[in-house]
Amino acid sequence: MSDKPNGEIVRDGLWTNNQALVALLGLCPLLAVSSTVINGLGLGIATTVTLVLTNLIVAALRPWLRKEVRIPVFVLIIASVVTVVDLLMHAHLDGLHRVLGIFVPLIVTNCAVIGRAEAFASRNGMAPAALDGLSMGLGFTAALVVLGALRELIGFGTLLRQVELMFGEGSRFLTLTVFPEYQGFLLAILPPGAFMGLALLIALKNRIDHQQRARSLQLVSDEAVGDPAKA
Amino acid sequence: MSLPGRDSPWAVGLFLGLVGLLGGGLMVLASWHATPYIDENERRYLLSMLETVAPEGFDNIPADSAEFLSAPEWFPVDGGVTVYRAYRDGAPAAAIFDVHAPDGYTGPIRLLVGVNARGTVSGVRVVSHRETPGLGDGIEVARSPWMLGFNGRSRANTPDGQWRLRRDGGDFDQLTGATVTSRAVMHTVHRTLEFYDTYRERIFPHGDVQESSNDE
Repeated sequence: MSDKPNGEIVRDGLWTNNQALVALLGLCPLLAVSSTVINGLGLGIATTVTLVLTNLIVAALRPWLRKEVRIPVFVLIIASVVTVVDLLMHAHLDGLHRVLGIFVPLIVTNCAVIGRAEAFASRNGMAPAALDGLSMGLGFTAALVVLGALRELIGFGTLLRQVELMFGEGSRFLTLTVFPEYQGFLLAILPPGAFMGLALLIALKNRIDHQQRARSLQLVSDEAVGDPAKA
Repeated sequence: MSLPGRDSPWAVGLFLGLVGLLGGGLMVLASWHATPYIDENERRYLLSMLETVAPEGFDNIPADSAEFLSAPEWFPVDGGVTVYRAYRDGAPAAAIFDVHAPDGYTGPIRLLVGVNARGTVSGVRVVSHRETPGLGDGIEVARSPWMLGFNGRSRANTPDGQWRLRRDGGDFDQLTGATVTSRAVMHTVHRTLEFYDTYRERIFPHGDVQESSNDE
């Protein structure tokens, strides 16, 4: 368990066991915040920082961690880390903090965080645990950003709107108006749009996986030159 | 077992307590570091909002002149209103009211209403709200210029009976699809103007405000 190769940890986090698209964890913040790219990126980064820190701390405490109290210990650690992240964001990224609002403290309820603490960090050393937190966080962030881009494009006709909230006034030029004079499409921004967008992304991921599997099966059966039905 | 008795309930409890202390310590450090920045951010945000609703050319810091006026019958959400005063050369330039519209579509809408010394709206901005994205959130100036339609309005140029939406026979356009939101904001702006007219001598006690006709 603890000697999983690093490449596999990264691949698991980003793709195979993507917390948003495969494990379907953390849906509440995912669906609520992914209305624009910047909101998604902001929450994704905050979640990633939280995941790395909680995984690190849990792995560091592993020698003393007893099975009976592990859940309260995880909850204590996660709650403290999220509070710290929230305070730091409020202090140094005020504009973004205003936009994300309640969803930063709500990272505490993101099941992906306690899920990784239980499933990985409590059974591995600090370095793999940190790598796992980073990969899972980045996978979650990627899902948030792609879903955000999809919803923003359909809902507002732009990409990277309000980019200045994260990168300062000088970055306003990054906002892309893809469809000028677009009237907006409300459904994409409201919660139903989030569900539909997420469903599309999951379908897309499954399709890619399916095609890859079909291709590798094809290779196998080509080599075997036997009865394909038995493969 | 490397540590003697580390599976005893006492050791487990002690461990849990230590983790709590660790977490608490982290939070204290973060809070100690962040609090000055957060206070400064809040102050700057409020100040930037105050500047957008006040008429140009005031020369004091309105945030320093904040005062809470108790008036539960006027402003039920907060039981009163916080007023900020802007002066130019020592004379009153505007009063800025931090008010809640109690009857938004999804809860109260917090507004800053700037009223210049003669009782005319100098600007209205929403501070926070939970109105429907795409419909009611048109009250944000970033999304729709609707809020700017209040600029220059006063009870002198818009009689009290005209403070209604056009569909109700009044003088105000509404946001498409957000009648309730529009009505809530409009009523609160009107109410704030009435409040100012009624209490302007309380708000600017030493000010030489012209044509103060309303006494209370």
